[in-house]
This record gives sequence, C-alpha cells and structure tokens, in this order.
Amino acid sequence: MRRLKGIACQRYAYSHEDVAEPATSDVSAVADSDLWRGMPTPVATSVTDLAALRSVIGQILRDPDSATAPQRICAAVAAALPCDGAALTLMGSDTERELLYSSDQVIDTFERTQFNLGEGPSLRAFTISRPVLIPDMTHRSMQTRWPILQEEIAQLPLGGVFCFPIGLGAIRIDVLTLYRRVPRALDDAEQAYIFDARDLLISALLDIRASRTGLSPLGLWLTSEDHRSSQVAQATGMLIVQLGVPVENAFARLRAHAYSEKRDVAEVADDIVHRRIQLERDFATEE
Amino acid sequence: MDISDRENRLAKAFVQLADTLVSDFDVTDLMQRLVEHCVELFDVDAAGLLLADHRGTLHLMASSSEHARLLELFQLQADEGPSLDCVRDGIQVAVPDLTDGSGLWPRFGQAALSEGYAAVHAFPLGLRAQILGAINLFSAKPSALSEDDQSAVQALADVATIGVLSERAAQNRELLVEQLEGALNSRVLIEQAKGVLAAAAGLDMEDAFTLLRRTARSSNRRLVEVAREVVHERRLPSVTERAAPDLPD
Repeated sequence: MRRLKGIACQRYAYSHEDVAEPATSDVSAVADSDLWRGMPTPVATSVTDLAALRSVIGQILRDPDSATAPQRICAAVAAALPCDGAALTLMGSDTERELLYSSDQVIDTFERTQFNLGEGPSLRAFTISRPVLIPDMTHRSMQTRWPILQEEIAQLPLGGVFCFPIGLGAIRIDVLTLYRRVPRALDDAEQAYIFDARDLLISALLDIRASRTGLSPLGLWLTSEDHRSSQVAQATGMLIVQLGVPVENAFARLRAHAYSEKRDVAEVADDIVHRRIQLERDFATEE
Repeated sequence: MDISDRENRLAKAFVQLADTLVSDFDVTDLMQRLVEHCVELFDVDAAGLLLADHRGTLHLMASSSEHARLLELFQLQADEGPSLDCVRDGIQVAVPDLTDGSGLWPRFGQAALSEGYAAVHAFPLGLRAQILGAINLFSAKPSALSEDDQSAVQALADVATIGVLSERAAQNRELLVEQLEGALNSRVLIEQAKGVLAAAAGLDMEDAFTLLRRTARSSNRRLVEVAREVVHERRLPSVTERAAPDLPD
C-alpha cells in the first residue's frame, strides 16, 4: 500500500470483526483532541465563510508540525461543512485505499466497510471521477444499487451521503465523503459551498504532497479558475512530456516554477503553451 | 452534399445522439458529438458549446476546434457575445456578417474576425423556461443558415438538452450536478491530454485536439477514455495517421 511520506496512518485489517471496534490512531487522536474539544457540533447552515476556512487551512499549512496537516485540514473542512461527519480516503489505485481522516465512528465504519466489500458510493466517486450524491441512503432504490453494503451498514445512522472525488483531470488522489443523519438533499447554497471548500481542499492536499516530495514549497494557493483553466491543464500535459514525469509531478513543477518566479500560474502556463519557456528536467528531485 | 445524402446523415446524427442518451450517458461525450455533427452537416466551419453549472456559471463544454474553443472562452472572459445573449434571452442569436461592424459585441466581433470567422449563429440549449447553455456555430465567410438548417440545428440541440434534463426525472438535481461536475473534470483531462500530444508530437493545440478526436473515433472510444490513456501512458495513441492541416476532419 502506498503511503505518503511523513503521515502516520492507521492500517485497517479488513475483517468483519473490526467493524465494531472504535477507530483509534495517533493521528485521529491528535485531530480529535486539538479540534473537537469544545467545538460545537456542525449544523446544517446556508451561511458560508470560505474566507475563514481558507485562513484556517493556510495556518495549518504554515504550521511546522506538518505530519498531521492533511488530517487537520480535513477536520477544519468537516467542521465548516453542513454535515454531521466527514472522511477523507486516499485512493492509490482501484484497490489501494487508505483512510486519512474520519470525524466520527459512523463515517469511519462506513468507509472501512466499503473498502472491505470493494463497493460503495465513495469508491464509485473515485472510479468515475464524478461526485456521487445520495440524499437518502435508506431509500429502497439503494437496495438494488449496493445490496451487500446496505446489509452491512444497516445499523449506521446514515441519512444523506455525498462523495466528492478530490483531483484534477488525470490527477486523482482522494475522495471526500460527507454524511448527515437526516436524509435530506444538499440545497443549492450548501452544494455551492461544498464545491468551493472542495477546491480549497484540492489545492491544499496537492500542496502538501508536492512539498513532501520536495517538488515545491508549501503555500501555493490556487483559485478554482486556475484549477479549471485549460491553459494550466495544457501546460501540465506538456510538462509531462518535457520533464518525463507523471501528471501530478508535472503540475507541482508548474506551480513551483510560478512561485519561484513570483508569477501567476496562469501566466507561466501561457508561456509554456506558447513555447516561450521550457522548464528544465531536474534529475535531483524527479524519480 | 446533395439533399438526400444530407438527409441521411442528419437522420444518422439524430440516431446517434439518441443512442448516446440511452446507453451509459455521458454529458461530455454527448456535447462533443453535437458540435461535431453540426460542423459536418451544415455549412459552418466550427462550433463551440457552453453549458451552465449548478451555480449558473457558464463553462466551455465542447468545441470542434481550438479556434472555436478560444472564441467561446473569449465570450466568457469578455462577458459579451452571441452565446451569452442567447442564454440570457433564450432565443437564437445570429450575425450573418461580422464585417459590417454593426457592433453588437464590439470585442467579441473583433476577436472572431481575427480568428478567421465572419459569421456566427448561437442556439439555446433549453427546455421551456430552463436554459442550460448555448451552441455557437461559426463560418469563415459571411453567411446565414437557411430556415431548414436552423430548424435542424435547433432540433439536434433539443435532443441533447432533453438528454441532459431527462436524467433529472430519475434522480432530480443530484444526477445533473454529478454529470456537470464530471464533465468539467473531463474537460481538464482532455486539455491535459492535448498538452501531452502537443509536446510529444510537436503539434499545436489545434492539431493535438484533432489527433485526439480522430483516435477516439477510429477506435470507437470516448474522447475522455483516450485522453486518460494519453496522460497516463505519456504517449501517442497507437494510430498511424497524424493530423495534417489539409486533411478533412
């Protein structure tokens, strides 16, 4: 199983006996103790404050204790979202999965059960690179969709389940799974907010991964315009070939170059696409 | 193309669109096919398509060429153009001659002319009160579509729109949101693949896009699938023909 350097993660034994045990790990204990003590239970709300969330995430990224940064960022995102719980799962490939963060026992069990069975909305969201939004997991139409999963999770208080792939085009990394106990669809404001928060999460997680592999320093914020920008994507593709690296590294190098030149990623992308600049292969950091 | 040949091809286009709706529905695929059919069937040189996301923000969803793609993006950035008017008002918007400088869209008009287009015609993708987006047809020479052609384009667009909206009946907003988000992500993937091909084969983005599309067609696969393979394998798809400027699309 792939592991990110520096992240301490709980390994889960895939057996039915484990389903009933509480999830414990040094990491989630840290996340729990630092952030959940005294925090109000997240409530569904249409009031959003992305600026505050962005500021919290920025602080976490600048924190020297970066080993638990992904977990703490997820905890911050989960706390700010209109849901009862959230989990972030790292998807290495179709069979490699690692639960990076879970906010409570319910979502923890739900994710691990999906891994165990190899089916479910979180896995599907990753496979098809699309969100899977289920306003009511108890609806009878869900019986036919994932019958075995439904049996295993029957005792969990899952109402609405909403899974979002975290990635950019060919870069596919994680899945963010949210749940609420009451089976209710996300309204337009909640949806819009979640997508914005999701974009912050993509930027932050890619940031951490790139810095951990020595590809670029922390703190390279991207806007969602940059994420969706055709030119940034085209430039990334060109760098895959020019630098001979996988897509995620190519993207990290693009950001790193922009940062070191103190320029916008979009501008650098434009230069690359129009062949005004070409980045050098860096044999020291590429593998 | 004579009348009966055109009618045959039009019928086939409808059948193909309908097929796409039924089996394994994919918004990106559907919209890409729609723009390509329009360029093939009608006397136009390029087509672009904008679709609104769940927030009502318009995004580029498909284009028949790089030029068209740039122009559609230009509309979004300049916040002016036929597609935007079309979406706002829910009716077709046409300018048969951009060179006469009637100045509906001063900046877009200039951009279109400099990309080599002298006529535009935008059709709404909508059903009753709900406008999802617009398809925009470009011609290099000043020209206007016949009434029959206009009806045919609108009918093709309506089939595609019904496809996107009909999914709502089953799972309401959720599936539409999923589809649109998925389509936006697919777009990023396709652009990444264009970049790979541009660098690997020394092509400009236009030819890289053509190569991608032709590979998808000749191997009967979705554009997105081919794009994913290109980015992950970091190589050209195994096809012997390369895009050349003089080959028909």
